[in-house]
Amino acid sequence: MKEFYFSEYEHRKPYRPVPFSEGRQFLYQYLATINIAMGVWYFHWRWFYSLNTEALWFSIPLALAETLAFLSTTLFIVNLWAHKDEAIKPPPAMISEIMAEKDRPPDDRPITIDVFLPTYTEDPELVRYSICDSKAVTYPYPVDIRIHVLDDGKRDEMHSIAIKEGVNYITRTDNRGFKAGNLRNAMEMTSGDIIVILDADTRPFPQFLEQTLGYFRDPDVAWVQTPQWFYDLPEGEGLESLFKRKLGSWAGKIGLLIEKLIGPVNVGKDIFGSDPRMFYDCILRRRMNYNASFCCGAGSLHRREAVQRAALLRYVDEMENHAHEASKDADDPEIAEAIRLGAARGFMTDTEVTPYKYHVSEDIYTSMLLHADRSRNWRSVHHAEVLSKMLSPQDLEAYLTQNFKYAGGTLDLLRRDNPLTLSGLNNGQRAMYFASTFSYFAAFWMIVFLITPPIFYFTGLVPVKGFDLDFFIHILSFQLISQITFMLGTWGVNTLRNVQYYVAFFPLNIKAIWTVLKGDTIKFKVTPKTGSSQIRLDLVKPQLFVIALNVAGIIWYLARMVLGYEYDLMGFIIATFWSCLNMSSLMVIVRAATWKTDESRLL
Amino acid sequence: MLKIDIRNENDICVINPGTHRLDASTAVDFKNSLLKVIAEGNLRLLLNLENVDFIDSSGLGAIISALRQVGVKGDIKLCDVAEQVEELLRLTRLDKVLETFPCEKDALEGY
Repeated sequence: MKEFYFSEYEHRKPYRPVPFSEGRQFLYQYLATINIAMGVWYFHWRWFYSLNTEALWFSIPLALAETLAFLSTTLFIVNLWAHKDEAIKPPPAMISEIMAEKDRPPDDRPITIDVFLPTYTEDPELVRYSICDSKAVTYPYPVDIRIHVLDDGKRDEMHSIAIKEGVNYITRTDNRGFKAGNLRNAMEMTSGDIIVILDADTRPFPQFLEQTLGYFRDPDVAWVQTPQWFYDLPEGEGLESLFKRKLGSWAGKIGLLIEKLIGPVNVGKDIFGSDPRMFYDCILRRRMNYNASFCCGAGSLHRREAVQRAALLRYVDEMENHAHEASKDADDPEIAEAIRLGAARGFMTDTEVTPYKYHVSEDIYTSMLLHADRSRNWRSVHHAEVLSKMLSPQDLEAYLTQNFKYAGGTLDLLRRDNPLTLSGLNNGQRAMYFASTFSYFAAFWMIVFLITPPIFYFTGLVPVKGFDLDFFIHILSFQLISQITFMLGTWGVNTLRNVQYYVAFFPLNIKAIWTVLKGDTIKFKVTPKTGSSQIRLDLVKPQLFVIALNVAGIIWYLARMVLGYEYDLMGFIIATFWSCLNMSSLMVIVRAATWKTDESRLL
Repeated sequence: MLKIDIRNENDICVINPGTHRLDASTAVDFKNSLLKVIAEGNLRLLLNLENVDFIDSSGLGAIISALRQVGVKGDIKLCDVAEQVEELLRLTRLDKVLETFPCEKDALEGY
């Protein structure tokens, strides 16, 4: 097989999910409760006693930004509240084992599984790896596993590889709906009971089916999501080697000494912050507690009946909306009914039932719809252990494209079916789907946090009444408890990059919010995994601007101090502390923009 | 390949699917058979489901595809519908656009 840059990472083993500890969970819940109570105490003080009434235009937005951030934190706390991992069940062999008694066919038969590998422009030799690994998936019973390469690129080379590997090759005349359309087309041509969705670069482990099919023994389980794991992330460079390379062997020894003191340091590790472990191992995994874990595409298994049911429900919803719109102005109930029926039939003539809609928020939207389906009690399962490996985006633009898709798609939920009002969801599901959309609004409060220090430097105004003992008691104790709660909630998972990118992504999220508000569609752009080795500072202009503003502010204020103008030393110390913290987060994305992706990684 | 039974009663095409179950494993065949019948110019279809005791969402999807094909000029109605099928139609709210009759005779009279 053709060698790629990732061939040297074949030995890498995925992380193990953080083991559950009842003691830790209790401690977390205890502290989280205190955190929320202290939040109420803090914001009471903040709104009623701490606002600088001399500069309300400055102090109110900051207090509001803090309050919204706390609301988001509260949703996060609720999300992480408790573990409820589903026990792995023995793999089923026959269809009767995964269906409700009343739905079982009279003649039992082995389960059939369709594995979909959609591809468009990826190197066929790269897809071959995914085909081979799919073929190597084992199962203890003779079930019928059919692997299909869904080639929207209509490439002869891909076709011949599929034939050589003995798997089915499916293509179509157009490319309507891109990946979603590709999957839909394949669905219409196949009939497996369970559908496995992979990406062109997703390589399942041999135990992929053995570990997951058992969940479908519960006839209400609609889908199973497994974590996406990027096995090609840059591992970074240790301090010893970095110092030695940059400054000479004497510096290497200092690097070694530092690492001995504080533990191993990997500079440049996962520079794009694309490691999704926190999302899968903390956020999605603990949504199991509310039956609210949603599907994320690649690495998931679906009960065909659930996919079709979701498509039908949505179809009927759209049809009824259409009929309602058409008939709402008719006064006579009989005429209204006639118009409704006519409009419904007209809609049915024009519209197909589409199992996968051509939309970026498809996965989360379908998940929400199934959770809200009142005719069935659909359940979703998040399997905590990594069961496949895939490639990460190779440069900042690719990573930004991917995240813009996530952000826009998730925000679009609010416009289509607001989770807060959608009937059929339970309160936990409501809160969790809302949390997914709300977290992207962080951009608004982040901007306020980022420009607060510069406003102080240039105007001399402070957003609070004064830096007295009361101020420090409130802010320090609240910050401390929040940090400890966060640490316990995400125990065992490195969250540094997530926190940094949470700050640094503000322009992207604002762009996504703006696009959705304008009513534009978020384009389903293929996430480029090919990468480019050029420096792309143009992608991080807003972040550079904020950094420049902070640096200029600090210089300006220092100059004022030196020149003997009146100054506020405590204010300056606090403002520079926040400036440095903010800039350190923003610098990560700037470094990512200047990151020279190794030529060999460009596929 | 699914064998479906087709008869013409006046200008209504009565179709009896040759299966007890319209599910994922038979839906594609069933849909193709229906589309063929429609392509031959039959726009008023009656699905006699007396032998069908189970339909799932894939089977229902096949009927919806056929309904799309007959357009506003034609129609598809159902008769002799099993309890499970009736319930599925109700749960998916498709009972509003797919009219059902207790037996073929009633259906042909009421079409």
